Amino acid sequence: MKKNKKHPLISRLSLAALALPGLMQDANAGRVEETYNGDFQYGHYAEGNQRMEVDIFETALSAPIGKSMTASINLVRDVISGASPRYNKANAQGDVKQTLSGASITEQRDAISSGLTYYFDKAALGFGGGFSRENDYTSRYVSTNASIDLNNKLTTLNFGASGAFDIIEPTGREIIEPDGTDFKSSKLRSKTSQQYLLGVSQVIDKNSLIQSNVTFGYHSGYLADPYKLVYFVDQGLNPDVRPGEKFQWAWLTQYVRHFQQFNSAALHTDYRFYTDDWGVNSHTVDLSWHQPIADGWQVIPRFRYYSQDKADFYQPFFGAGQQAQVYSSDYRLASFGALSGGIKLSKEFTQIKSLSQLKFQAGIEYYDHKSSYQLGGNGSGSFDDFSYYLLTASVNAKF
Amino acid sequence: MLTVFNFAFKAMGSPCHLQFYAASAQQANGVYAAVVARITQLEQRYSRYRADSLISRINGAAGTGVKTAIDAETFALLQYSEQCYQESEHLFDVTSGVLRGLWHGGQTQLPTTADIHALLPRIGWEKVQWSRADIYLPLVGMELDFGGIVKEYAADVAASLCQQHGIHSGIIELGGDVRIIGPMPNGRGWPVAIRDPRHPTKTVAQFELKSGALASSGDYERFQLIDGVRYGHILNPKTGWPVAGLRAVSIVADQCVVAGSLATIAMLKANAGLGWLQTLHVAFLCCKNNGQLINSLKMGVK
Repeated sequence: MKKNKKHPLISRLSLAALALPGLMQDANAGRVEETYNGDFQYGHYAEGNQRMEVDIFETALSAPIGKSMTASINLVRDVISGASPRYNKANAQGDVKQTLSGASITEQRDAISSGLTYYFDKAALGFGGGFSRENDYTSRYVSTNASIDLNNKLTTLNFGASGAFDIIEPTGREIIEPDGTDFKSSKLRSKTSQQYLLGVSQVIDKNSLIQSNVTFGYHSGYLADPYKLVYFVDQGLNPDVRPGEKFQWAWLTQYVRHFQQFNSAALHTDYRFYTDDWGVNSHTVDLSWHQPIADGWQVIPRFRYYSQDKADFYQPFFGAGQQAQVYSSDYRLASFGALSGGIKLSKEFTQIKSLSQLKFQAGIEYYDHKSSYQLGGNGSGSFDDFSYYLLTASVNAKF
Repeated sequence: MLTVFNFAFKAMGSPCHLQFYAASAQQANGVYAAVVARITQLEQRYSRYRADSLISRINGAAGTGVKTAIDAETFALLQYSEQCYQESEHLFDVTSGVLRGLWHGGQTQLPTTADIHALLPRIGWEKVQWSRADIYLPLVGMELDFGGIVKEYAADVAASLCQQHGIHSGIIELGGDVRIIGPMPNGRGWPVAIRDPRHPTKTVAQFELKSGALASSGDYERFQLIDGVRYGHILNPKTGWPVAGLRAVSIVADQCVVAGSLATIAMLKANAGLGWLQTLHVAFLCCKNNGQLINSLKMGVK
């Protein structure tokens, strides 16, 4: 028989019951982890056409300190190899062709970050910092965040602030172009970034939660990409030149709904709008369905759509007579859209010896970047269309 | 390897059972101790049989002009009581307990209409003065009684406490009211049964419950026979008389406290109770006064 929707009277009584202390466990996200937590993840990212490949190794550990503090540490190593787009040029027929970086390179990026969160009765305060290093790029950041529970923990306000300082020291390698143009420069450059977040999350009822946050970012310094070039028909190749600052805004709203009748499945829907003063506006819609099956198995199909408008100073290349103060042909600043879909499968074991939880997860995601997927379909041209797939496997243990 | 652990204990005047799967006896005993401590705390605070309980202090201050300070939990219980009062056309009234003075066990005669009319002015949730900080019963002899709420609430609290202790598979029963902590390790529900109101050793329904709660209200053991007529313990706050119409009602809902209140409201609605339940689309089992069983459990129970 068809199961009917909950009668409003029952919903009202349930809502009043959920205000009773100790009855929130189903919708409450759960705060202090009074357990030791370890995560190990491996990911393999591969772009089509033998472009970039990345192997990602990640370890995250968290541990309680006393009753009201949690410390965490996160280590990441990326091993990157392959070629990436460098500039575009029009051929004799006027078709735009993309030129990739020459020889295959192998690079490694190591990052470490750690944080400390202190939980008060109705609030939490966190501090963190991180450092990442690769041969030509060093980044340091600090962050702080606070959350305040209101309204019997049905409402949570979140605040965050972070600052980053990056140093870019391009290696001489690959700076000389096949046509002899030499952009060799190992000049030290830097950029600073700051970001602020204001958010609210609201438990609507036992089965649903909505959260929304606004972030504001400001970046200044060297914001260009030292490995990207721009082709001018009149002058040949020039290094990528971008404005010295960038203001950005993003607004993310997420709605989570549990369906008891489908074995406690949950639907997550996210929408994000992003805009910056370089002229890039983007929309992201992300849907995922978290379906518990049985015996700790869970399957999560996911779908995402992304669309962005190009930056004001982007062009695939610059034609005869065209001049510009700032200019870029970086495909990430072009107009395009992307569709991605994936599926994750996990199996959770509970109460094995001293472990309170052991969870294995494997996933695959396919991403397709096409100029024609842009909303309205006025993409910047199909020459930089590409796709990638991402395989992940992880194990999580709680003690 | 998970092992099943069983604990039987007595709380809130009823036999109780806690059954769950845990990794070790040490873990199980820890969880059991935490559950018993929490239920005992609720009992100490809300039992009207204990002179030192918060309820007794509130009742003792009735009509004296002195307000009694309350905490957030009590305030939430008052808000919940208010909701039940509004949803039941004022039949579910936590101040109706004074009537028990007339319908106590063991009596052989019906109370007189005069006795009942003398008590009725002391009943009325709308008279209670309460806020987030304190509560005051304005008339001498008024009484607050969370009896119809706290036992079911305790089952919900106990289940969530078990979950917080890492128990994901278990069931708790407090005097016939059941709350699932989590399904059995094989993913199936726990077998639960509803007793026959007239023959407490027999069951009238049996099914598996994976999540949520089952609570019952009825004239199970608590009734008096006067001149061959059976009078239950559920009293109508407007007439002062025990309700008649339904013998017992059992409800399946997400929370035990909600299941229990719905069952009590259905009983209070007497002959209108069955129709009311049917409009709510809840899973219920209703035993009419003539013994007829109306079972909608197949609908919502897996």
